[in-house]
Amino acid sequence: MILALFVAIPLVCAIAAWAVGRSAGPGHGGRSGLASRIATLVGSLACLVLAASLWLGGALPVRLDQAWIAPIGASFSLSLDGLSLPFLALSGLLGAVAVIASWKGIEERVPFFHFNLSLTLAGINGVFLASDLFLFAFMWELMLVPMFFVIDIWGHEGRHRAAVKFFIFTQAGGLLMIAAIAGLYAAHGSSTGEWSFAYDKLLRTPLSATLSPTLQMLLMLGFFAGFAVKLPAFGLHAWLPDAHTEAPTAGSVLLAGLLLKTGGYGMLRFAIPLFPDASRAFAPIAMWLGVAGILWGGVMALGQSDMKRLVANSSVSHLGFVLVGIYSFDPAGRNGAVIQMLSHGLSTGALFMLVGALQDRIGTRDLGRMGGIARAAPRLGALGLVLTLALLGLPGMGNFVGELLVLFGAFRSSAAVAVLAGLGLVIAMAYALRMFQLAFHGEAKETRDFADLSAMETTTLGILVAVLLWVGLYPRGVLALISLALPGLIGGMTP
Amino acid sequence: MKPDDAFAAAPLIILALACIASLAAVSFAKRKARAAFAVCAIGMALALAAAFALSLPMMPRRIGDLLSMDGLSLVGTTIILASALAIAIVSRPYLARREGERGEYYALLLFASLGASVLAASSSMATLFLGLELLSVSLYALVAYRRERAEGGRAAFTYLILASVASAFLFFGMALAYYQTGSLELQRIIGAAADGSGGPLMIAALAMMGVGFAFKLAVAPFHMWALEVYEGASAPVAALIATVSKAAMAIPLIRFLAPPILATSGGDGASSFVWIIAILSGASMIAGNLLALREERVKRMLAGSSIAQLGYILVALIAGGSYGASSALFYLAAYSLSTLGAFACVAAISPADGDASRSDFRALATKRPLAAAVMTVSLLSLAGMPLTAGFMGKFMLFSAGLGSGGSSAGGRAGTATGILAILLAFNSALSLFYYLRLLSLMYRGPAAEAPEAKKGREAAGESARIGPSRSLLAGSILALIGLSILVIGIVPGPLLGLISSLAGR
Repeated sequence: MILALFVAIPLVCAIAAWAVGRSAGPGHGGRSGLASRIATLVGSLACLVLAASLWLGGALPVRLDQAWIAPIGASFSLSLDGLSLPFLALSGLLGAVAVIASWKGIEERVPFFHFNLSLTLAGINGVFLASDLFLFAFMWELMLVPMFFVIDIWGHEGRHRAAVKFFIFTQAGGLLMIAAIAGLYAAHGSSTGEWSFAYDKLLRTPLSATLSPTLQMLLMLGFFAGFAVKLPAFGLHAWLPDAHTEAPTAGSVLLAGLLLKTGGYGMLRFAIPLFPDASRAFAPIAMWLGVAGILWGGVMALGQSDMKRLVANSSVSHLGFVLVGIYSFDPAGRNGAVIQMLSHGLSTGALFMLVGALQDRIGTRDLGRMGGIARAAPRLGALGLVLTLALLGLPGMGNFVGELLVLFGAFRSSAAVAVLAGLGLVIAMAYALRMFQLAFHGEAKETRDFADLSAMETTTLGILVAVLLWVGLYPRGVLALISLALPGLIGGMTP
Repeated sequence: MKPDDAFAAAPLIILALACIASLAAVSFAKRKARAAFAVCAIGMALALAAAFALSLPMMPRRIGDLLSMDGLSLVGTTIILASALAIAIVSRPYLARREGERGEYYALLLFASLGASVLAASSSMATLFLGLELLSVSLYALVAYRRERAEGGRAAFTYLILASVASAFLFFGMALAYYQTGSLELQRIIGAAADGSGGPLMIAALAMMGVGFAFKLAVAPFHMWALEVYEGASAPVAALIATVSKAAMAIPLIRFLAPPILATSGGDGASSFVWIIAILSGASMIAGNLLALREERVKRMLAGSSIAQLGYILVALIAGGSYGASSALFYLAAYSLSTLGAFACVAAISPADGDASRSDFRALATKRPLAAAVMTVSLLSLAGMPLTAGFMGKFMLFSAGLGSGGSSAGGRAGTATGILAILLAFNSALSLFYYLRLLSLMYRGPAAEAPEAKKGREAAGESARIGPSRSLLAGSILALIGLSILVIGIVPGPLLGLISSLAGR
């Protein structure tokens, strides 16, 4: 039952956040806004506490099976293993961060904003837990609509275009995935006579007996398309810079921190185990796509003058490592990919919060108009430095561990991929340091008067940095948890 | 006619009696509109109740060669009557505010739903044609109903001419089929066509009948009338065309096309069926979405969307079998409910001097939260997003389409549905573009009015355009539609179970 809470708590909070707003009438701001902020914050923290308690004391895996749509054999079944748990914890943490990041910035229709935020979180948690493919598709799509509203209503100048672009890209991928799920369901049903969407049953579909290699490949590509758009893989990433840049801070935090991770999670959990042969055949292409993403994202980030767009493009680069790691078919690479996803969620979530805080204060994201911020606002500058170092993968930060493990794994399967991916680290140095230098050092280009980070913001960012350091300095803690994933997903623990 | 037959046909009999009663009400009652509305609403509700209480226990039952009262007809009748009832209720405040509420409107609604119900239960060409004409003739009058508006007349004329041509095609096809088989029974005609014993004349007959059906369903390339007619008709009547008329035409298609495709898929006769429907389906999806994409006017956009939606339903028809049939029925129900919701919202927020345009949707979320919420849910359901009925519907279509590819009955039907499933995925993504555009508009802030325009209006002494109507009954129907879309979306099991058990009967 405890698993249902991960979905139920955000859902209840979403309705609560909306209800308090409605009852307070059209005025919105003020107290009703505060109530909905607190409702969402409490909901996220409750999920975080729940995840932490399972992490510390839990015997994994935990399952929940509940009948749902009997006529087609779909059930409400959730399952929690070592792969889901760190992402759930991340979702609780970043959910809270998103609320805090929008504490000042969002002043219009506050209750509806938090309704959408909570609903997105419910969908994300559902994605990380679902062990029934119908339920998974349901949750997968569920997170889109509220996210669309978050970007479309509260975003920056180009929000309408960015929101539609985001929605159409992800939905096209999602529909291909749904088509593939339906195809797998039909193949399983017609070959075994048992019509079911259950993950463990579909895992045992006699694929080679029912489907030709071409069909297997097509179905696998359907899944891959859905996940690759989200991740995003090179070629399908066009929505990302726009959506991340135009979204409000909370939206960017959730997008970069969590939504992208659902793509990598989906590959590890579904695309590869369900179609092992087709995935293995496809692996080289996927790895090269990853490399292309690493280099392209890095080069694009080098040339940006918009700070938020720079961070967004760096995400394309960092998530390329994830793609390489997952498809290296190597335990080290897979472990690295998971660590990379977690650390990227933490560091980029924090960076987006920082950029948002900066924009709230000085009214621009243009690097050319910044400069000298470290002197004017020391706390902002210090945290900016730490996060920049995380962005370029300094040892001690989680990102370093993730990238290094990915490179180990990649090297074992293809040296060329590893070498070119390693080049991405060099580019990362360049764009990260350039960003820091332009924004925080030097003389201020314009004179402004603004406050340093508030105590709440400093604490939040501090916590994120602390977790990032913990992952970086003691990766064994996370690796031990990942090793509790269902067999076959990751592989054994590595040195 | 035996008493059992009467029980089985009870919904049709009640509707026919209500038709007569409504004519009497229009002629003799004091407050004509009110009396006719009462007769209409009560008649439809009674017929709906009779369908489940009296008719269901007798099923399946054939009444002569004319009607077959079975699970399919029951599902069809339910969709038809529930939609028509909702439309009648929504129409009241809509018409009252336009000083156009006359009793005849409700009488026509009754006739249209009687025709549609007969169509859904028809098993012979005679009843098929009778039902179709009853439905069409009522629709001509309903489209033209508001005489003071020129668009209505123009739309009605377009519809009249084109629909008569389509009816003529259908009729001619029927005559040829009758000449070839010597039977009016649809089952035998389709059987003869599927095993190829009819010869070339039979192919011509089927093609002509196909044109008639495709026209009424507004399936591409016979869809051009839809935009014009939806635009010209008032919102409730457009809803009637989009839901009742299409559901009525889809039921016979499901009944007579699904079995031969399943039975003989791979055979030559059947596979040409499959490819023809596949091409119609793909063309509708693409044409409908492209039309809707370019459309600035809301009702025309919904028309384009419903052309595309019918294309989606055809995917399940090609899949065939009982799974294909129940998928098509489920999608039909979800589609009808969502379309009804969308049009009911348009009707509810329309100002008195015309139907709602895009600008009326701006900032709807703050002006009319209920209408905005129902419109949101309906559009998302049409787009197939989760938590709404449309998601389950789309999933059923995918699994029906790809299921026939994976099963042993695969062959060419499998290839066709495989391609269609991919088309379906991309078209759904494409359709999001125009659904989202409207959605996004509803949640924006109000537009700033140009100062000159405001001044001019103040000078002329008129207040803002006369506001839209608010009626308790219509409001609760709106809420009910939105709620049902959500409930079916979250717990689709019961409805799905009901439909698949009925589709098997």
